[in-house]
Amino acid sequence: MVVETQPPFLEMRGITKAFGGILANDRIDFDVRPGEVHALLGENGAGKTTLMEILYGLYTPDAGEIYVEGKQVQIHSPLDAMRLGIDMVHQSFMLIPVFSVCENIVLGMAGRHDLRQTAEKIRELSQSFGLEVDPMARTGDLPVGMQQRVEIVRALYRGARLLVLDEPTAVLTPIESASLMRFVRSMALEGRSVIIITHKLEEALEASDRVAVLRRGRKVATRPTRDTDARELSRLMVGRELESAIGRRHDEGRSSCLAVEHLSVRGEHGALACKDVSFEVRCGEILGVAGVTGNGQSVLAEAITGLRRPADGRVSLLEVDVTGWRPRALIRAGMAHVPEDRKATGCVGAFNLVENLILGRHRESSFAQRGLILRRRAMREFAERTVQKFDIRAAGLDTATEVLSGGNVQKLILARELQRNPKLLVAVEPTRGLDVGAIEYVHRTILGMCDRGVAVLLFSSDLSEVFSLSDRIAVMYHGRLLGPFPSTEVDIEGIGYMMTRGIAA
Amino acid sequence: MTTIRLHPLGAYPVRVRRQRDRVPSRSRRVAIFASSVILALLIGALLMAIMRVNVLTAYKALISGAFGNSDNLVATLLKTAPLLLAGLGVLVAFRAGIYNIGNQGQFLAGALCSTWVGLHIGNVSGAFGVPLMIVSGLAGGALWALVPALLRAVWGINEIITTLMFNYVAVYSIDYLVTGPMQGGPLGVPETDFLPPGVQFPIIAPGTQLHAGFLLAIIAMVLIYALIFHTSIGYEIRAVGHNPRAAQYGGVSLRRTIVGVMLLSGAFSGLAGMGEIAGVHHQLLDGVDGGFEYTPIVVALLGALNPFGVGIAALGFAALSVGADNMQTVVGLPSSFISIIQALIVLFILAGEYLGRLTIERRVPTPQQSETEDAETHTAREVKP
Repeated sequence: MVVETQPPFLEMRGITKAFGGILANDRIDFDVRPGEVHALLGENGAGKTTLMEILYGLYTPDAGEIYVEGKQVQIHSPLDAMRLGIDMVHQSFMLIPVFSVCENIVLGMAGRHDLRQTAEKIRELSQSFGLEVDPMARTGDLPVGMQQRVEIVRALYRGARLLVLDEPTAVLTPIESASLMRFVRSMALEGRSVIIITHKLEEALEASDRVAVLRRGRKVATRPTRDTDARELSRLMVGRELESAIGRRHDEGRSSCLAVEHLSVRGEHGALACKDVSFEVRCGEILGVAGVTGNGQSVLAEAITGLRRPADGRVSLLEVDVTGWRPRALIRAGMAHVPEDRKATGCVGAFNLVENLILGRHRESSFAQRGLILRRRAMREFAERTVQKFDIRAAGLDTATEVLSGGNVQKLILARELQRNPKLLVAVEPTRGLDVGAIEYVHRTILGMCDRGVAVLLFSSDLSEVFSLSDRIAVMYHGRLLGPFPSTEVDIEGIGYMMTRGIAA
Repeated sequence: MTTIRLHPLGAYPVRVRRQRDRVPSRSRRVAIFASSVILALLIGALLMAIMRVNVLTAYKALISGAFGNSDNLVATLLKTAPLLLAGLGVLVAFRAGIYNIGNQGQFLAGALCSTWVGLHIGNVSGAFGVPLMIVSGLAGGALWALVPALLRAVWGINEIITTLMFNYVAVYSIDYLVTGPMQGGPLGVPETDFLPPGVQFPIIAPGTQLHAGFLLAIIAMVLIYALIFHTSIGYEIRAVGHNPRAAQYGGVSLRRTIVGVMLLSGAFSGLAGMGEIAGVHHQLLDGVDGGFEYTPIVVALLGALNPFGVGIAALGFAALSVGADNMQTVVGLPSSFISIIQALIVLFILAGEYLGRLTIERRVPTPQQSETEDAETHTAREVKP
């Protein structure tokens, strides 16, 4: 595929960038050859995105040089980058939802555009790469996977010769991911280059020609993909050996913890986003609910945790009818909740660690005399113990929570929910966007809770997570629940099929 | 003296960047505040010079008018009390992200309610009279905030609009009452009868007019501080203000918090109004609010929504307006001149808040990099056996 003696299309030398005294990139050398797929692997905060945003002109490096086709270049803005044939698809898409696909693609390009001609060109271009999109569709109506295609087609339309994809499969189903990888291959065959930023080992191994591993702002190695394996890469990435995959054992015949009967819930726009859902979670059991984002999982989770009132049906916790109960009562009844959006829902960003660690328990007598006067010292001691026990990394207890990394915020939320000795844990996308080290940690914590008899309801769009943790698996599709099935009786492909078609294969 | 080598910023490529999430540090805030006051006074000086007024004499008159002798000081403190109380009311609401700008209406409602109570059941001794007045002031202000609070909590109707409209209702209702049903004293004068002595606030500094209402304001400041930072209620208020969704997730009832905070906010503005009745005027009259209008909001914001900060801001604004009267007598500058300076302070602080988020980046190799490098080679050496 790649002629190894070819001169690189892109070369970055000694790139250094500091943010407030912390080196996000420390003398990084990095190169990409024409027609190469290069994976940029590293944990969150390793400096992958910073390096690519320097390349894309969003940051100016403190030191270092960039060469494109052997010539030194200065990239001061994304416009400069595009002129050099470098384009980037960000994790959060830069599209205007009310514009058509076509309008989004020509947005910001100089000159007049005949939209009909452009649409024709877009159609041809997208078909030739196997990325069919309807140029006339309203962008906001498209599913996430389609929106990503629009971003990619836009880059191709602008004539990108090097495309940077930032965590491209984070939002995709297995089928969509596979088709994205096919596209990446076809782009490389044309002699163009692709950089995939990722923290998933399998993805790096599956798609790339070479892998560069970053750790704490430094490049620790570049390996030809065929000469390396998951074990070596994870060691390079984390700096130590990870323990092997976590296994699950079955435990039948315990009493019921959560029972949901014929539950229907209205979504944001008043339509039923969750229709006639029934299931049960027993104590000490993990029920995994898989599904493509936006199929009603969030709404269902909100209804169970008291953030949204159900339209119909019944929820019982430990045989008590708790339908329509508010969060405070549910917390008292033994519910713990790790919400989907950890920064928007799970904590108050402006609060410090001490304050966030007692959210939901701030009226308990251990933290407030007669439920009113805060016991500041008790709060602080509790925070000190918790931060140590759960290895939450922060500059200090008085740090505002919003400056913590996603992994540390998630640890904080888990620590808080766990310390409460709950009976039921509802965890929604608990590891989304976390790096391997943190994911391992979150998984162990959840399994540990389960061993102590806590019932766990896990919502996740990451199928490998659902499979490695769950005793039983259900699928949400268009607001309806399929299953649950015992996890021994289904496989990833079967569940993936249900996620996209709504029927068993 | 050592020679200072100037490091010309212009010698390097410079880039100014706005960090959106960056909150200015405490020392930076103090610096912003101080330089805003100085800049405003400098521009004031410039304007005076244009108007051919002696700048030094004018500012001297301003300061001595506010603090120069005990009478002036008392006048300043008397003006501080209502500003502080109403400012605390605003603070409580804004801390919860509830924009109650109806402090004027709630102030008047507190004044009205306490006047009515004082006139009708006020023939009591001071030991009952003072608490009676405090309760009626609190109740009046809270009642005036009740309707906007319910509208917001139950139907989500924007409290900014409703509280603003309630201001007008209060202003014109008082107008009507003091010229009509509640009118007392000389015919045609828009004021009520005087309150019986039992419900007038006692003087706390003999020989002056400083009344117990000032003490009340100081106590309120400490109480609000304790409430916001040392109770679970304050915790909930701040949580709702920063992130209502997370607060709800943490078991806080948004409705209850909104209603509670609005009532509390109104109650403190009402307390301010009551203080003016029981401590200063001893009757309800047109313009009892002393032309404050939105000043308590400015005071609350300048005090960075911190009770003690609000205290300082209230004192500063009171001093400026009291001193301005003296400035008028001494140099003949209209006392409304001070509004220019007050407005300039606000503008400069707003600009400072923006500038405080900017950082200047210089693209020169920082010594820090070589330092970390050294440190690392050191540790590497030490690790080797």
